[in-house]
Amino acid sequence: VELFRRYVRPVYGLALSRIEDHALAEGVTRATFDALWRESPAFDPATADAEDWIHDVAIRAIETQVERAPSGSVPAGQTDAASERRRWRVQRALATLTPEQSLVVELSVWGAMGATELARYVGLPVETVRTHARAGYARLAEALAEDVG
Amino acid sequence: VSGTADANDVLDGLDDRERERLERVRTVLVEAGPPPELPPTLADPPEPSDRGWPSVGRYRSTVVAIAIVAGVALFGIGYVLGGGETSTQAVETSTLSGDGGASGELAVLPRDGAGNWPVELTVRRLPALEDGEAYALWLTRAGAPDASCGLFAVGREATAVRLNCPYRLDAFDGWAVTRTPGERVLLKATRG
Repeated sequence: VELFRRYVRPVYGLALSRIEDHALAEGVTRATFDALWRESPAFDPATADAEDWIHDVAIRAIETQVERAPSGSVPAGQTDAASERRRWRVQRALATLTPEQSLVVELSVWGAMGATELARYVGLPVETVRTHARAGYARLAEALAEDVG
Repeated sequence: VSGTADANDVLDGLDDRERERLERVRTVLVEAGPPPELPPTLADPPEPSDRGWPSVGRYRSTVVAIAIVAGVALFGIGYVLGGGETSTQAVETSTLSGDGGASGELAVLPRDGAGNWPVELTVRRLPALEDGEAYALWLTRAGAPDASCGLFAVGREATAVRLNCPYRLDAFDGWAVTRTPGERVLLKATRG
C-alpha cells in the first residue's frame, strides 16, 4: 500500500506522458503495480536501485501496451527523456510530503495562491499555511537536490 | 510559468539565502508541470493478479514447491494434449551454457492472445537447489538478468518446463537461468 501511495502518481504521470490516453495510462499503471508485486521477490536492493527498478518496470508496461495495440492506435505523447525523468523525480518528491504540505505547495505553485488565499481555502491560519509550505519546500529541496543545485 | 507574484509570499519570513533555495524548488516544479489528477479507479492499490511471495512469509518454500509442481504438471498436460509438438512452432531458439557441463535449450513459442511469449525450456545438469530455492528464467539486458519470466525446478535428468515472458523481447539481448534468491547465473545465452 505504501509503495502504491508513493508511486501511483509518478507511474500514472509517466504513462500519460508517453500515451496520451487516460484509460490506457490507467491500465498501464495497474499493470506496473502488478508486475512490481510479481517481480519483488527477485529484486535485490543490495545490487539495484529501487527507484530505477520501478521506473524500468513502468517503462516496460508502457512498451508492452504500445506493442499490443494495433499499429497507430495508441496516441503517443512527448518522449523527451530528460524532462520525463525530471517530471518523474518531481512527482516522486511530491509523494513524500504530508497531505497538508502537499496541498499547500501544489496550490501555491500551480494554483497561484498566496498565503492569505490559501489560508482561506484550507481553513487554517496564515502562519500555519506558511509553516506547511516552508516544510514542504524544504523537503522537496532535499529530494530534488540534483535539480535545485 | 503559472502563478502570481504574491504566490511566493508563502515563503515570506525566510532569510534571503533560504528563500532563494526554496524559490528554485518552485521553479523546478513549475517547469516539470503539475502532477496528474488520479482517476477514482487508482485511488486504491489494485488487487494483485498473482499474490506471489511477499505474502507467503515462512511458507515460501512450500509455496514455491507447490507452484513448481503445478507448473511442471500443467506443462506435461499441455505437452500431451498438444501432441508434444510445441517446440516445432518456435519463433526463436537459443542454446544456453554454463559451468560444470550445465546446458539448456530454449524455444520461444508464438505469442498468446494476451501478449505473453510462452517459452519452452529444457535444462541439464544444473546444480542442486537448497530448501526454499528455485531456478529462475530471465531476459537479460547487457548480459545481466533484468526481467523475470518465472521460476522452475528440475529433476536429475533433463527437464522441460513451460514458462511465460510478458515482455517485449526486442528490448533484451539474451537469456539467463539463475538460482534464486541470490540470482547467481547458472546458464546464459545471447539472443540471435
